[in-house]
Amino acid sequence: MRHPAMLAGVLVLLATPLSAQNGPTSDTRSILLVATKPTSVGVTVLTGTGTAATSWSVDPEQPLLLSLVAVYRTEVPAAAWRLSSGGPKALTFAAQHQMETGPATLVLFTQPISSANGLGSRRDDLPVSPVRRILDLTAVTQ
Amino acid sequence: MPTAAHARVLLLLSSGLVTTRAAGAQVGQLGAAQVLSLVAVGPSVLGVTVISGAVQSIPSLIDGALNIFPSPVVIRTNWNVSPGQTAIVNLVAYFPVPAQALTGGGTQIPSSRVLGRMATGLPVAFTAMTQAPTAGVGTSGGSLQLFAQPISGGNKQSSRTDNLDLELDLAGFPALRAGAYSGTLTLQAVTQ
Repeated sequence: MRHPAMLAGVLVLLATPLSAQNGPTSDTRSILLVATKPTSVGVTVLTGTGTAATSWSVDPEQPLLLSLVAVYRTEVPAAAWRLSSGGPKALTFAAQHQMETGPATLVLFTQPISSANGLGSRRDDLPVSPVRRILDLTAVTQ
Repeated sequence: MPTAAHARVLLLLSSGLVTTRAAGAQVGQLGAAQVLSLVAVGPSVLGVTVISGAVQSIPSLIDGALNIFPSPVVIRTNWNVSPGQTAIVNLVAYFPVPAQALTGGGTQIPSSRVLGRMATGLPVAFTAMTQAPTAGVGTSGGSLQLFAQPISGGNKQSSRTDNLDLELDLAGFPALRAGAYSGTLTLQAVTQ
Protein backbone atom coordinates (compact mmCIF):
# COMPACT_ATOMS: atom_id res chain seq x y z
CA MET A 1 0.00 0.00 0.00
CA ARG A 2 3.04 2.23 -0.23
CA HIS A 3 2.45 3.01 -3.87
CA PRO A 4 -0.62 5.22 -3.51
CA ALA A 5 1.16 7.19 -0.83
CA MET A 6 4.17 7.75 -3.07
CA LEU A 7 1.94 8.77 -5.94
CA ALA A 8 0.14 11.19 -3.68
CA GLY A 9 3.50 12.70 -2.75
CA VAL A 10 4.40 13.13 -6.38
CA LEU A 11 1.10 14.77 -7.11
CA VAL A 12 1.52 17.14 -4.19
CA LEU A 13 4.89 18.19 -5.55
CA LEU A 14 3.44 18.73 -8.99
CA ALA A 15 0.63 20.80 -7.53
CA THR A 16 3.04 23.43 -6.17
CA PRO A 17 1.98 26.78 -7.64
CA LEU A 18 4.13 27.82 -10.55
CA SER A 19 4.31 31.37 -9.26
CA ALA A 20 6.29 30.21 -6.26
CA GLN A 21 8.95 28.55 -8.37
CA ASN A 22 11.87 30.48 -9.82
CA GLY A 23 12.56 29.04 -13.21
CA PRO A 24 15.68 28.91 -15.28
CA THR A 25 17.65 32.06 -15.95
CA SER A 26 19.46 33.31 -19.00
CA ASP A 27 23.13 34.12 -19.09
CA THR A 28 23.87 37.63 -17.87
CA ARG A 29 24.70 40.47 -20.19
CA SER A 30 26.63 43.57 -19.17
CA ILE A 31 26.09 47.20 -20.07
CA LEU A 32 29.07 49.45 -19.44
CA LEU A 33 28.11 52.92 -18.22
CA VAL A 34 30.69 55.67 -18.56
CA ALA A 35 30.08 59.28 -17.62
CA THR A 36 32.80 61.89 -17.84
CA LYS A 37 32.96 65.16 -15.99
CA PRO A 38 35.23 67.50 -17.94
CA THR A 39 37.64 69.84 -16.26
CA SER A 40 36.08 73.22 -15.64
CA VAL A 41 37.28 76.47 -14.13
CA GLY A 42 35.09 79.49 -13.63
CA VAL A 43 35.55 83.03 -12.38
CA THR A 44 32.82 85.39 -11.28
CA VAL A 45 33.16 88.93 -10.03
CA LEU A 46 30.71 89.43 -7.23
CA THR A 47 28.83 92.65 -7.89
CA GLY A 48 29.50 95.45 -5.48
CA THR A 49 32.04 93.57 -3.42
CA GLY A 50 35.19 93.81 -5.49
CA THR A 51 35.63 90.10 -4.92
CA ALA A 52 36.48 87.42 -7.45
CA ALA A 53 34.94 83.98 -6.87
CA THR A 54 36.93 81.22 -8.54
CA SER A 55 35.65 77.65 -8.72
CA TRP A 56 37.20 74.61 -10.28
CA SER A 57 36.55 70.95 -10.94
CA VAL A 58 39.56 69.13 -12.21
CA ASP A 59 40.61 65.53 -12.48
CA PRO A 60 42.43 64.68 -9.25
CA GLU A 61 44.50 62.19 -11.20
CA GLN A 62 46.17 65.09 -12.98
CA PRO A 63 47.81 67.43 -10.45
CA LEU A 64 48.31 70.94 -11.70
CA LEU A 65 48.49 74.59 -10.77
CA LEU A 66 45.55 76.94 -11.07
CA SER A 67 46.21 80.65 -11.36
CA LEU A 68 43.89 83.62 -11.50
CA VAL A 69 45.31 86.35 -13.67
CA ALA A 70 44.04 89.90 -13.92
CA VAL A 71 44.69 91.71 -17.18
CA TYR A 72 44.19 95.45 -17.39
CA ARG A 73 43.51 96.54 -20.91
CA THR A 74 44.81 100.09 -20.52
CA GLU A 75 48.04 101.51 -19.31
CA VAL A 76 48.26 101.54 -15.58
CA PRO A 77 50.62 103.77 -13.69
CA ALA A 78 52.02 101.64 -10.95
CA ALA A 79 51.73 104.48 -8.51
CA ALA A 80 47.97 104.65 -9.10
CA TRP A 81 47.31 101.30 -7.58
CA ARG A 82 46.95 100.05 -4.14
CA LEU A 83 45.69 96.82 -2.78
CA SER A 84 42.78 96.44 -0.46
CA SER A 85 44.88 94.30 1.76
CA GLY A 86 48.50 93.44 2.13
CA GLY A 87 50.22 90.12 2.20
CA PRO A 88 51.51 88.09 -0.72
CA LYS A 89 49.19 89.74 -3.23
CA ALA A 90 50.74 93.10 -2.54
CA LEU A 91 54.21 91.70 -3.16
CA THR A 92 53.11 90.00 -6.35
CA PHE A 93 51.45 93.16 -7.53
CA ALA A 94 54.49 95.29 -6.90
CA ALA A 95 56.80 92.87 -8.64
CA GLN A 96 54.73 92.71 -11.79
CA HIS A 97 54.07 96.38 -12.33
CA GLN A 98 57.47 97.78 -12.97
CA MET A 99 56.44 99.08 -16.37
CA GLU A 100 54.12 102.00 -16.59
CA THR A 101 53.09 101.48 -20.21
CA GLY A 102 51.11 98.76 -21.93
CA PRO A 103 48.57 96.34 -20.49
CA ALA A 104 49.35 95.23 -16.99
CA THR A 105 48.90 91.73 -15.74
CA LEU A 106 48.68 90.53 -12.23
CA VAL A 107 48.70 87.00 -10.92
CA LEU A 108 46.23 87.14 -8.08
CA PHE A 109 46.94 83.67 -6.80
CA THR A 110 48.39 80.32 -7.75
CA GLN A 111 46.61 77.33 -6.27
CA PRO A 112 48.08 73.80 -6.36
CA ILE A 113 45.42 71.21 -7.29
CA SER A 114 45.71 67.63 -6.15
CA SER A 115 43.45 64.76 -5.15
CA ALA A 116 42.60 66.56 -1.94
CA ASN A 117 41.07 69.61 -3.62
CA GLY A 118 40.12 68.57 -7.15
CA LEU A 119 36.78 70.23 -6.56
CA GLY A 120 36.90 73.59 -4.85
CA SER A 121 36.41 77.31 -4.81
CA ARG A 122 37.84 80.43 -3.24
CA ARG A 123 37.15 84.14 -3.00
CA ASP A 124 39.73 86.86 -3.29
CA ASP A 125 39.55 90.61 -3.01
CA LEU A 126 40.49 92.38 -6.20
CA PRO A 127 43.05 95.15 -6.15
CA VAL A 128 41.38 98.52 -6.13
CA SER A 129 42.34 101.66 -7.95
CA PRO A 130 41.15 105.24 -7.82
CA VAL A 131 41.25 105.20 -11.61
CA ARG A 132 38.50 103.42 -13.54
CA ARG A 133 40.09 100.66 -15.58
CA ILE A 134 38.79 97.73 -17.54
CA LEU A 135 39.80 94.51 -15.90
CA ASP A 136 39.73 91.04 -17.40
CA LEU A 137 40.07 88.05 -15.15
CA THR A 138 41.31 84.74 -16.51
CA ALA A 139 41.82 81.50 -14.64
CA VAL A 140 44.47 79.31 -16.18
CA THR A 141 45.81 75.88 -15.38
CA GLN A 142 49.28 74.56 -16.01
CA MET B 1 22.23 22.69 -14.10
CA PRO B 2 19.03 20.72 -13.45
CA THR B 3 15.90 22.77 -13.63
CA ALA B 4 12.71 22.37 -11.69
CA ALA B 5 11.20 20.61 -14.70
CA HIS B 6 14.10 18.16 -14.77
CA ALA B 7 13.67 17.44 -11.08
CA ARG B 8 10.04 16.56 -11.57
CA VAL B 9 10.83 14.22 -14.47
CA LEU B 10 13.48 12.41 -12.44
CA LEU B 11 11.10 12.08 -9.55
CA LEU B 12 8.42 10.60 -11.77
CA LEU B 13 10.87 8.15 -13.31
CA SER B 14 12.02 7.04 -9.87
CA SER B 15 8.45 6.47 -8.82
CA GLY B 16 7.88 4.32 -11.89
CA LEU B 17 10.89 2.14 -11.15
CA VAL B 18 9.84 1.60 -7.56
CA THR B 19 6.37 0.63 -8.72
CA THR B 20 7.75 -1.92 -11.19
CA ARG B 21 9.99 -3.61 -8.63
CA ALA B 22 7.28 -3.77 -6.02
CA ALA B 23 4.86 -5.35 -8.47
CA GLY B 24 7.41 -8.07 -9.30
CA ALA B 25 7.84 -8.98 -5.66
CA GLN B 26 4.14 -9.41 -5.14
CA VAL B 27 3.41 -12.26 -7.50
CA GLY B 28 -0.01 -13.64 -6.90
CA GLN B 29 -1.24 -10.51 -5.22
CA LEU B 30 -1.67 -8.23 -8.19
CA GLY B 31 -4.04 -5.41 -7.71
CA ALA B 32 -5.58 -3.12 -10.26
CA ALA B 33 -3.10 -1.79 -12.79
CA GLN B 34 -2.11 1.80 -12.35
CA VAL B 35 -0.93 3.92 -15.25
CA LEU B 36 1.92 6.29 -14.74
CA SER B 37 2.39 8.97 -17.35
CA LEU B 38 6.04 9.77 -17.82
CA VAL B 39 6.42 13.06 -19.58
CA ALA B 40 9.89 14.16 -20.57
CA VAL B 41 10.12 17.94 -20.79
CA GLY B 42 13.07 19.39 -22.68
CA PRO B 43 15.22 22.05 -21.11
CA SER B 44 13.93 25.60 -21.45
CA VAL B 45 15.75 28.01 -23.71
CA LEU B 46 16.14 31.55 -22.43
CA GLY B 47 18.50 34.09 -23.91
CA VAL B 48 19.31 37.79 -23.80
CA THR B 49 21.25 39.58 -26.52
CA VAL B 50 22.37 43.18 -26.52
CA ILE B 51 21.93 44.24 -30.11
CA SER B 52 23.39 47.72 -29.62
CA GLY B 53 24.25 50.16 -26.88
CA ALA B 54 26.36 47.82 -24.78
CA VAL B 55 28.53 50.82 -23.94
CA GLN B 56 26.64 53.85 -22.74
CA SER B 57 28.49 57.17 -22.53
CA ILE B 58 27.81 60.65 -21.28
CA PRO B 59 30.70 62.78 -22.56
CA SER B 60 30.03 65.82 -20.41
CA LEU B 61 28.35 65.37 -17.03
CA ILE B 62 26.52 68.34 -15.58
CA ASP B 63 26.28 68.69 -11.82
CA GLY B 64 22.86 69.08 -10.26
CA ALA B 65 21.02 68.09 -13.41
CA LEU B 66 19.47 65.18 -15.23
CA ASN B 67 22.06 63.66 -17.55
CA ILE B 68 20.78 61.52 -20.41
CA PHE B 69 22.62 58.64 -22.01
CA PRO B 70 22.11 59.60 -25.64
CA SER B 71 21.32 56.24 -27.22
CA PRO B 72 19.18 53.36 -25.95
CA VAL B 73 20.28 49.84 -25.15
CA VAL B 74 18.54 47.60 -27.70
CA ILE B 75 17.83 44.21 -26.13
CA ARG B 76 16.52 41.04 -27.71
CA THR B 77 15.09 38.38 -25.42
CA ASN B 78 14.28 34.94 -26.81
CA TRP B 79 12.72 31.91 -25.19
CA ASN B 80 11.48 28.41 -25.89
CA VAL B 81 9.61 27.23 -22.82
CA SER B 82 6.73 24.98 -21.87
CA PRO B 83 3.55 26.87 -21.00
CA GLY B 84 2.84 24.17 -18.44
CA GLN B 85 6.04 24.99 -16.63
CA THR B 86 6.49 28.68 -17.36
CA ALA B 87 3.93 31.39 -16.84
CA ILE B 88 6.09 34.49 -17.27
CA VAL B 89 9.41 35.49 -18.78
CA ASN B 90 10.94 38.43 -16.91
CA LEU B 91 13.80 40.69 -17.89
CA VAL B 92 15.65 42.34 -15.03
CA ALA B 93 18.37 45.00 -14.95
CA TYR B 94 20.44 45.36 -11.81
CA PHE B 95 23.64 46.68 -10.33
CA PRO B 96 25.66 44.07 -8.43
CA VAL B 97 26.48 46.65 -5.73
CA PRO B 98 23.65 49.20 -5.56
CA ALA B 99 25.65 51.70 -3.51
CA GLN B 100 28.31 51.79 -6.20
CA ALA B 101 26.43 51.88 -9.48
CA LEU B 102 29.10 54.18 -10.87
CA THR B 103 32.41 55.00 -9.25
CA GLY B 104 35.31 57.30 -10.01
CA GLY B 105 37.80 59.51 -8.22
CA GLY B 106 36.80 58.08 -4.86
CA THR B 107 33.14 59.02 -5.41
CA GLN B 108 30.32 56.48 -5.49
CA ILE B 109 27.08 57.16 -7.34
CA PRO B 110 24.29 54.85 -6.08
CA SER B 111 21.76 53.00 -8.22
CA SER B 112 19.03 55.34 -6.99
CA ARG B 113 20.61 57.93 -9.30
CA VAL B 114 20.37 55.71 -12.37
CA LEU B 115 16.96 55.72 -14.02
CA GLY B 116 15.69 53.30 -16.63
CA ARG B 117 12.73 53.37 -18.98
CA MET B 118 11.36 50.70 -21.29
CA ALA B 119 8.42 52.09 -23.23
CA THR B 120 7.44 48.59 -24.35
CA GLY B 121 7.86 47.11 -20.89
CA LEU B 122 6.97 47.84 -17.28
CA PRO B 123 8.80 51.07 -16.43
CA VAL B 124 7.20 53.21 -19.14
CA ALA B 125 8.45 56.30 -17.31
CA PHE B 126 12.00 56.74 -16.03
CA THR B 127 12.28 54.78 -12.80
CA ALA B 128 15.14 54.52 -10.32
CA MET B 129 16.91 51.19 -10.13
CA THR B 130 15.99 50.59 -6.52
CA GLN B 131 13.64 47.62 -6.78
CA ALA B 132 13.94 44.21 -5.16
CA PRO B 133 15.00 41.13 -7.13
CA THR B 134 12.48 39.49 -9.45
CA ALA B 135 12.16 35.71 -9.10
CA GLY B 136 15.52 35.65 -7.41
CA VAL B 137 17.33 37.68 -10.05
CA GLY B 138 18.80 41.04 -9.12
CA THR B 139 20.01 42.77 -6.00
CA SER B 140 17.98 44.23 -3.19
CA GLY B 141 17.55 47.94 -3.79
CA GLY B 142 19.51 47.87 -7.02
CA SER B 143 17.17 46.31 -9.55
CA LEU B 144 14.55 47.25 -12.12
CA GLN B 145 12.10 44.78 -13.66
CA LEU B 146 11.97 45.70 -17.32
CA PHE B 147 9.17 43.46 -18.56
CA ALA B 148 7.05 40.50 -17.57
CA GLN B 149 5.98 38.58 -20.67
CA PRO B 150 3.03 36.19 -20.11
CA ILE B 151 3.58 32.80 -21.75
CA SER B 152 0.88 30.78 -23.44
CA GLY B 153 0.72 28.18 -26.16
CA GLY B 154 0.85 30.84 -28.79
CA ASN B 155 4.17 32.34 -27.74
CA LYS B 156 5.95 29.49 -25.99
CA GLN B 157 8.74 29.88 -28.54
CA SER B 158 9.25 33.50 -29.38
CA SER B 159 11.31 36.63 -28.84
CA ARG B 160 10.91 40.32 -28.36
CA THR B 161 13.12 43.36 -28.85
CA ASP B 162 12.99 46.34 -26.53
CA ASN B 163 14.80 49.63 -26.02
CA LEU B 164 16.13 50.54 -22.60
CA ASP B 165 16.70 54.25 -22.07
CA LEU B 166 18.99 55.35 -19.26
CA GLU B 167 19.50 58.56 -17.33
CA LEU B 168 21.80 59.69 -14.55
CA ASP B 169 20.04 62.02 -12.14
CA LEU B 170 22.48 64.30 -10.33
CA ALA B 171 19.86 66.74 -9.04
CA GLY B 172 20.69 67.37 -5.41
CA PHE B 173 23.79 65.22 -5.62
CA PRO B 174 27.10 66.73 -4.46
CA ALA B 175 29.14 68.27 -7.24
CA LEU B 176 31.46 65.81 -8.90
CA ARG B 177 35.12 66.33 -9.50
CA ALA B 178 36.31 66.16 -13.06
CA GLY B 179 37.10 62.67 -14.25
CA ALA B 180 35.51 59.46 -15.48
CA TYR B 181 32.81 57.58 -13.61
CA SER B 182 31.94 54.07 -14.69
CA GLY B 183 29.86 51.09 -13.70
CA THR B 184 28.30 47.90 -15.03
CA LEU B 185 24.59 47.27 -15.39
CA THR B 186 23.65 43.59 -15.59
CA LEU B 187 20.77 42.21 -17.66
CA GLN B 188 19.27 38.79 -17.02
CA ALA B 189 16.04 37.01 -17.94
CA VAL B 190 14.27 34.63 -15.59
CA THR B 191 11.10 32.57 -15.87
CA GLN B 192 8.39 32.04 -13.31
